[in-house]
Amino acid sequence: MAKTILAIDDSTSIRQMVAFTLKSAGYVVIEAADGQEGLAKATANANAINLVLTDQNMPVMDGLTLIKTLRGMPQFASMPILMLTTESSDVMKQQGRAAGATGWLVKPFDPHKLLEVVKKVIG
Amino acid sequence: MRNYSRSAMIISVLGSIFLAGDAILYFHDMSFLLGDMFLLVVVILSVLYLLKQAEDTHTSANSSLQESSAFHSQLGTEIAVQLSSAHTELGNTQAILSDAIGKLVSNFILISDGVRDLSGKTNEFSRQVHEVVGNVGQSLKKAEQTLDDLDAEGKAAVLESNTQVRAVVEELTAFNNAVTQNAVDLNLMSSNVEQNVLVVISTLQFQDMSSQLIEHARLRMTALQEVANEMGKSKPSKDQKEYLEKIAAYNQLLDKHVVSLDKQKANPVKQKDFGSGDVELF
Repeated sequence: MAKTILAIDDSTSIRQMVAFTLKSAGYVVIEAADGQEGLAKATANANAINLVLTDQNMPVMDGLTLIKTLRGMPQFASMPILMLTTESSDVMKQQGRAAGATGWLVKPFDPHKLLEVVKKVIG
Repeated sequence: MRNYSRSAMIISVLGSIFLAGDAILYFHDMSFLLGDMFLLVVVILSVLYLLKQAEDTHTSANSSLQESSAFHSQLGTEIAVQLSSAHTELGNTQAILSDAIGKLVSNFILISDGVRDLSGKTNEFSRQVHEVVGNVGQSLKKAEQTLDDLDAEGKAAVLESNTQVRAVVEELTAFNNAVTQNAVDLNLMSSNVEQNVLVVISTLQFQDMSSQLIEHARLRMTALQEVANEMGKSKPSKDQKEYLEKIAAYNQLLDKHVVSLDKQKANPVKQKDFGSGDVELF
């Protein structure tokens, strides 16, 4: 059965590109435009989602807040969450790690590398 | 300033008269009085000269202040006009870029999805043709098995029919081989298109980030435009105090915008290395 990934990014183009990359490898992708929409879709599809891939800087709710919120919910306590962001500072990475992120990918992403990481994390 | 000048002159004259009176009383000699008077004239002239210089300097400073204030106002108007024009141009550029990126991404994805879909359908078609050929072959074998039960005339008719069916099966097999080859080619094409789209995806992300940078630049320009508009609207300052107050007000407005812009930064671009992004698993 195909694994499901929740991809959250406020840039439509980036979201489409992430979704395309993941779909081409056989994953099912659910898309959300900001942290709040991501949280709603994650909650609604909690049983189906295998991985959350989120941007950091988004309107309404940013990536770190989303991760902290998800980690506070039992169904997402151990779910892999990857950050895909233009932020590359060590301080931000530390904040991501502290919030509960599983990994940190810096944009622009290499589609092959993204697939490699996703495969490593959820198979 | 003229009032000060008059007062100084009156005080100087009165002072000199008193001094002259003192001199006559003390020395009983007119030459001292004349010397004293000469000194008085020199003092008055010096004081008048200094007062005139001070007045000129003050007038000049006031005039410069007003000129400077008027210049700032004019500068503000010009900057606001230029910013407005640049803002519109950037907005148009951003709209064109965003539209182009959106179409490009959607089209690439559509093409790739289309080729993938075509490849899948060709595979299915090839499988169906292969199945038909197999079924016909099996039917022929069954027909051959029943040949022995027929008489000579019937056998001849069936053999004729069998030959024609075999010819059809051969054509079908050739067709099947062609379809299978097409399916293989299409699979390869689909894979190539997908690989190319993945390469394009890396490139398109830079355009997406450029679009974000333009948006940030526009926000900053809007803020600067507002400050420039304020500068353009203001009248020339009457004195230094008013002038400094205006400068402070502009600074406050700028600070307010800086804070507001920092809050609005939904998606800042801070890419230092413009190669492919790093990956780190915690």
